[in-house]
Amino acid sequence: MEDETIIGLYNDRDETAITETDKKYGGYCRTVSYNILQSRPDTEECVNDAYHHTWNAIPPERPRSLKAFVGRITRNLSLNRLAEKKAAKRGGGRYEAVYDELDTSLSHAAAPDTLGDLELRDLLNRFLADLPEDRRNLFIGRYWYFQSIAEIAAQTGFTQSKVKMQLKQSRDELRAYLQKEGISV
Amino acid sequence: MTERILRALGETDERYFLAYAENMKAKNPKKIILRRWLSAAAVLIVLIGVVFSLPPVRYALLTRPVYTQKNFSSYTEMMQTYYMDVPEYEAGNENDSPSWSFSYGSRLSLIDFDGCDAADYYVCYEQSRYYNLATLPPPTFVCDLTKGGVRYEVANFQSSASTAVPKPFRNIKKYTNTVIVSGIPVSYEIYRDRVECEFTDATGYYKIISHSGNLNDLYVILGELLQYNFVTWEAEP
Repeated sequence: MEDETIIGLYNDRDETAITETDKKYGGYCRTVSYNILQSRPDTEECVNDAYHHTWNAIPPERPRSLKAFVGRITRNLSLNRLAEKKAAKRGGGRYEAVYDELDTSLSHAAAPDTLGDLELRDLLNRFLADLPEDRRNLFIGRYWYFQSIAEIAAQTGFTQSKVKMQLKQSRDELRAYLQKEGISV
Repeated sequence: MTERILRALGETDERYFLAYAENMKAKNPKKIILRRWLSAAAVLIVLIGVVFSLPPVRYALLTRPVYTQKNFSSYTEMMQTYYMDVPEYEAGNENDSPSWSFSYGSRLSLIDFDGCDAADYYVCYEQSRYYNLATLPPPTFVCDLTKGGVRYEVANFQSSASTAVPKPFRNIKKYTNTVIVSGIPVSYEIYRDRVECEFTDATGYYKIISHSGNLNDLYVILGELLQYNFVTWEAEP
């Protein structure tokens, strides 16, 4: 079913909108969530919560891409769930590993109080746009999808060493970019 | 800050993370391409195996005779090259009873005849022509159908030899030819599952059909046409 049609079901308050969303994007959402939470029951709960949030948001929201919309909600809810339950260890340490990796490179950067969420988003958009496509994909795979190095290597066809090296380069460039934007690192 | 960055990444341009999601589905493109080629090759091999195991295909391919061609200075030389135990043909030895065998290439076909008359020579020669082994034109029979007042009566007859012929091939002609019998052209067509002989004389049109399609059936038909008649060779000019 096309996204337009599914969004139409949300607007008509037809509950088959949830079923159709799950049919089309359920696998994707579960992957996004599981990479963060590393727990099947928590993943299922988060994905269901994501559908609930989507149901409440549409209307008035009318997303251009339903996949991006529900994917973002799933990711945020999963991060929230992780923070609430302080489940880094139960999640197999993947979020913690990614966090530590990025945090180390950024040398515990501190953003000025005036840097809002929208400004930070725009800054990251510009940073991602400047990255070569291969390195951007690796960056997204690691820091958006929380995939392991091995998973990223298997998917892209690169060796794990190359993935690690390219991620390090990207993190170094992000650090330099933040410094340029006035964020002390 | 790090946590803010990780969260803010979730709000970045959807093109970036959707593009990666597509890559996640595609996995390793090189492996996918290789897997597709291997799958296609496997399917092709299976299809070839299935097609070539079908009875009609095997029949058509495997039962094709081996062809060789040679020029002979005489009919006898041809017979002696391709047949074993062939006595010299001489007029008058029609009542001898040799056994004939016939071979071509690496395949052997045994034909036993109980006589040494011109008809026996003829049928062996016809078989060699069927397999295109000889370039000499066939001799012409002269046969008097009304010799001694006996009139040959046409009838369908059963042949004990039967060939399992797959249905799609039943109407394919293996061989056709015409022989002159007492000045009357007798045309015959050897199909894979029957032999049909036709001729028209002063009394009308006749057709004889066997119930299997090999040369022995033709020989029996011609033999039956000739059995009550005197047969002589007419030498080729």
